[in-house]
Amino acid sequence: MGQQGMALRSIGMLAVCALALAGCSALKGTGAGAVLAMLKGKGDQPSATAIPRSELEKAGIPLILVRNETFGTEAFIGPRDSRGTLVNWATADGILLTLRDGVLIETRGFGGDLMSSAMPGIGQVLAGGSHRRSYFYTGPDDKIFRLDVTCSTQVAGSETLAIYGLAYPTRHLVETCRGDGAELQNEYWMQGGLIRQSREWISPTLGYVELTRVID
Amino acid sequence: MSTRSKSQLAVTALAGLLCGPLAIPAKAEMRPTLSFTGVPGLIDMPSGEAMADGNFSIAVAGFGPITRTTLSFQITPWLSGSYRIQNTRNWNEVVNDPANPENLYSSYNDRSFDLRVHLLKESGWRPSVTVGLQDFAGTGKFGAEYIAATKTLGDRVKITGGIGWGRLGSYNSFGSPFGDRPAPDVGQGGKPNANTWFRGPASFFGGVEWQLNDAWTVKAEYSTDAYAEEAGYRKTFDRKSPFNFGIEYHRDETMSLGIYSLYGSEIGFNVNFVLDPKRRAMMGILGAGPVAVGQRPSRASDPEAWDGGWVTQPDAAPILRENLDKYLNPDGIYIEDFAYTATTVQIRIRNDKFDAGAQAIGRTARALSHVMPASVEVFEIVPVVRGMGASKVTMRRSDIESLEHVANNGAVLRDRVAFGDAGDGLAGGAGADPDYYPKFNWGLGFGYRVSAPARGDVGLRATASYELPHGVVLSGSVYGRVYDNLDKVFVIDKGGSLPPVRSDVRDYNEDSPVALERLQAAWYAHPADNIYTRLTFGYLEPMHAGISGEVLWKPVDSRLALGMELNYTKQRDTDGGFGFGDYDYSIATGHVSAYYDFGNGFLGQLDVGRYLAGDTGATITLDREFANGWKVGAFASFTSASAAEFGEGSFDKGLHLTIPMNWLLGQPSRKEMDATIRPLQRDGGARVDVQGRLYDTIRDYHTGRLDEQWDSRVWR
Repeated sequence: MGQQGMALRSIGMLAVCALALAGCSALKGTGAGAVLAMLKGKGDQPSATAIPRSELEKAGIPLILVRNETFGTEAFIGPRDSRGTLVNWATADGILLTLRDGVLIETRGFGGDLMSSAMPGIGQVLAGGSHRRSYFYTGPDDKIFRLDVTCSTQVAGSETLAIYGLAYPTRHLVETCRGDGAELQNEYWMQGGLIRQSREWISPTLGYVELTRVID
Repeated sequence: MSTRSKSQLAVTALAGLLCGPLAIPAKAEMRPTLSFTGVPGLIDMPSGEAMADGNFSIAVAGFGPITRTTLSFQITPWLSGSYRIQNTRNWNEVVNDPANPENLYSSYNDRSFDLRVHLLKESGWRPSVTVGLQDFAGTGKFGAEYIAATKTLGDRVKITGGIGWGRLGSYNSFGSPFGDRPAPDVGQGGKPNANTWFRGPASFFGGVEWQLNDAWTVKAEYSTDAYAEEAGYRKTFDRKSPFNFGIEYHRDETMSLGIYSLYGSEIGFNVNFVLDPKRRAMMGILGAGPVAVGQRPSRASDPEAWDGGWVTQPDAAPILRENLDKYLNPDGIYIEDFAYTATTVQIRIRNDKFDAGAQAIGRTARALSHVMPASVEVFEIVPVVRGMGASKVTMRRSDIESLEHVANNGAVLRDRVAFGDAGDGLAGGAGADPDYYPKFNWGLGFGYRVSAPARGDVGLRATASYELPHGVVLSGSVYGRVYDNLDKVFVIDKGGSLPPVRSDVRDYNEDSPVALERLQAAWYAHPADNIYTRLTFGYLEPMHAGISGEVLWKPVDSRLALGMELNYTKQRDTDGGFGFGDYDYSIATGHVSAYYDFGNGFLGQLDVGRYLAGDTGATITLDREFANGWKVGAFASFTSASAAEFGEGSFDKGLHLTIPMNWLLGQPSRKEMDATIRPLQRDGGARVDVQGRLYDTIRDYHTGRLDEQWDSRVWR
C-alpha cells in the first residue's frame, strides 16, 4: 500500500469550519452569522420576530428559532454538523442543541444543560402508547441528576401556525410525562411528518425551550 | 500559567458578588432567617433551625452603639460555625478607668466563634432543635450557651422557645440548674472555656415569626440578654425592655433586610446574604459547546484509512500537531508534548482555561478523534502543570466514538477510563511548540493590606511570571499603596514574647508605600512515579526570603498524600525593599504533612514541624470543597509556644475561603479569589507563605478532584 494514498495533510479550512460556525462555508457570506448571532432577551438588539422572512432566507441555511421561557431569551440556530438522523444545531457563539430525528436530546452552553438522555424517536412519541424518557442534566454542585419519566401522547387538535408570514396547518400533540414526583409536558406541532414546532423540557434550571422551524 | 491564578478577595468584591443574580423561585415552605448574631434566629435570639447544607452567609446587623458582622457556614447538615466581629462604640465614654487596658478603646472590637449542633430536624409534631455555643473560645465577653426549639405552625408561623446560659441567661433568670458559672479563665483568650458552659443563671427566651407573604415577615421576641456591660456598666445604650419587634423584607433566598425596635430604646437594622455554593451564580457553565466527536470510517469500508503506514511519514508529527492546535488552542489547551505509534497516541497538555480538568480532557479526546489516523485506538492524555505530568488518562477511541450520545455517558465513560502516573512519556516527542516557551504573563489589579480591623491600605498589585520549559517559573509581585487610613490604627499591646515574625505586619504595611512582595525562582519536577518536587528561591513573601524545598508523595487515585517541606529564611526589612537590616533573624523551618480526602468534598491536612518563631507543633486544617471549586475551611495550630508567649488569642487559628471566578461569571476560567481570615495575627504557628505548594498544584488532575466534575464536564 503506497503511502501517498493515506498521506496526512493539514486539515486547514475543515477544522476552522468545524470550530467556528460563522466562518463555515455553508454559512458564509449571506448574513447567516449575523442572524445566528442574535441572542436576545437582554441588550438592545432587535427582536428576532422583527426580521422579515426575506432576510432570513438570505442566510441560505435552515433556521430554527429557539425561545427559552425561563430566561426570556431567543436565538436562531443553524445546522452545524450531522451524523445519521442526529443534527447538531448551534448559535453563532456556540450554544448547541442536539436533535435526533427532530427530538431534542442534548444541550450545551446554557448552564444547567441536558448532558445526555434516552429519548424516544418522534415516531414513538406520535404512536400514542406508553414510552419512557431519561434525562441526565447538570444540577447543583456540578452533579449529574437523573430524571426517569413515563410518557403518553394525546392529540390536542388541529392548529394553524403563523410563522414569519406563512401559515402552516399542523396537528398539535401533547406528550405528558410523569416520574420521580415530576410532571412535564412536551408538545409537538406536526406538519405531516415534519415537526414544524415543538416545546420541549430540558432541565429544572432551564425549563422549556420552544423550537420553531422557520426556514427549511 | 496552567495552574490556578489566585487573587486576594477584596471585601468590596465579596459584597458585590453577594448581590449577584441568584434568584431561585421562592417556595411556600418557611426558610430559616438570620438573627442579629448572624445565625438562624429571631431578632437578637437564636432559633432551633439550621441553614441548608453548605450554605454560606454574611449578616451585618446593628442597633444603637453595637454593630455585628457575622460569617456563617453550614459545615454539614448538623453542624455550623460562625465567626463574628462585634464593634461597640462609645465604649469608654462613661467608664474612664485607664488602669484596665480594655478601657483605652473608644470603640471596642471583639471577635468570636460560634458552633451550633442541629440535634433534631422538624418533622410531624417534633420541633427543630439546636444546641449552640456562642463565643466559645473568645474573651468570653459574649459567651453564651443555649438550646432552642422551633416549630412551624401551618405554613406561615414559627414559634421558638429556648433556654440560655451566659449572656442569654443574664436577664430574668429562673436559677442555675447546673450550678454556678465560674469566672472564665480568660488568660490570653481564644481557648474554649468548657468549664463555664451551661453553668450559672439560666433564662427562658422565645418569640414568634409570622410570614405575611413570600417577601414580608414580622417578628417579636423576648430577649434574655441583659447587656450588663454595654447597657449597665458602660451605658452605651439604655435597655428599657426585653421585648424586640421587627419587620423583614426577603427579596429572594439570597438577600434580606430588616428594621427593628430593640430593647424599648433603639432602632436596629439587619442586612444579610445567604449563598448556596452548590448553585452557580450564572446557573451553570456557559461557553461554546464542543465539536462533535470525529468518527472513523469502518475498517471494511475503507481499509486504507486504517493502515498504520503513516507513522513513517517524516512530516506526520508536525502536520498532526498543527491540526490538533487548531482544535485545542481556542479552548486554551496547548501541547506540551506529543508522540505516537501506529496504535497509541500520547498527548501532554496544559489547560489554561477550563476550571474542570475533566472538560479539558474531554475536549482533547474530541480533538484527537478528528486528527489522529484511524489506526490509533488508544488515547493517552497527560495534563501537565508547571512542567509536571500530573496524571495519565487512558481511553479507547472507540469508546469516545460510541458513547458520545449515550444516556449517562459521563459515568459510563468513567468506568472505561484508566488513571495512572504520568510516567516518562512515549519516545519520539518533540516537546512543547517551539514558540511557546518562554511564556510571559502579567497582571495588574486592585489589592489591599489589612493592618487592623477596617484599617489598612488599598492599592494596585502588579504580578508577572516568566515560565521556562521543564517546570522553571520566575515570578514576582509588587504592591503600591494608593489610599490608606493607617493614621486611624489604634492598638494596644497584645502580649506575647515570640520573635516578631508576623506581628509586625503593621510596620511592614506602614513603611512600604511600594513593596516588592515576591521575587522568586521555582523549579518543579516529577522525578519518579507518585513523587513530585519543588524548589523555590528568592523573596518568597513580604516578610521572609530564602529557600524552600518540598517533596510530595501522591498516587493519582490515592486519598492519602504525604509531604515534607524544608525552608531556610531570613526576615526582610519592613520597607518592602531587598534588605535584611531591620531584623537579625534567620531560621530553618519545616513540616511533614499528611493530606487526606475524606470524600464528599471534605479534605483534611495535618502538618507537624517547626514554625517561623522557632515554636514546634502541629496545624490541623479541615476544608469543605464543592465540586465547582468553592472551598471553605478552618485551621488551628497547636505549638510549643505557651499562651503567654503567644499573646492574645493563645494560639493561631482562622478561616480560609476560596471562590472560583467561573462560579460568578459562568464563563470558563481558572481564576479564583482567596481570603484567609484570622481573628488576630500573632507569631506562633506561623509558616513561610511560599506560593505554589505541590498538593494544590497537582490535585486538580488526580481522581478525587477530577471525579467531582467528571460526569458533568467530560462531555461538555
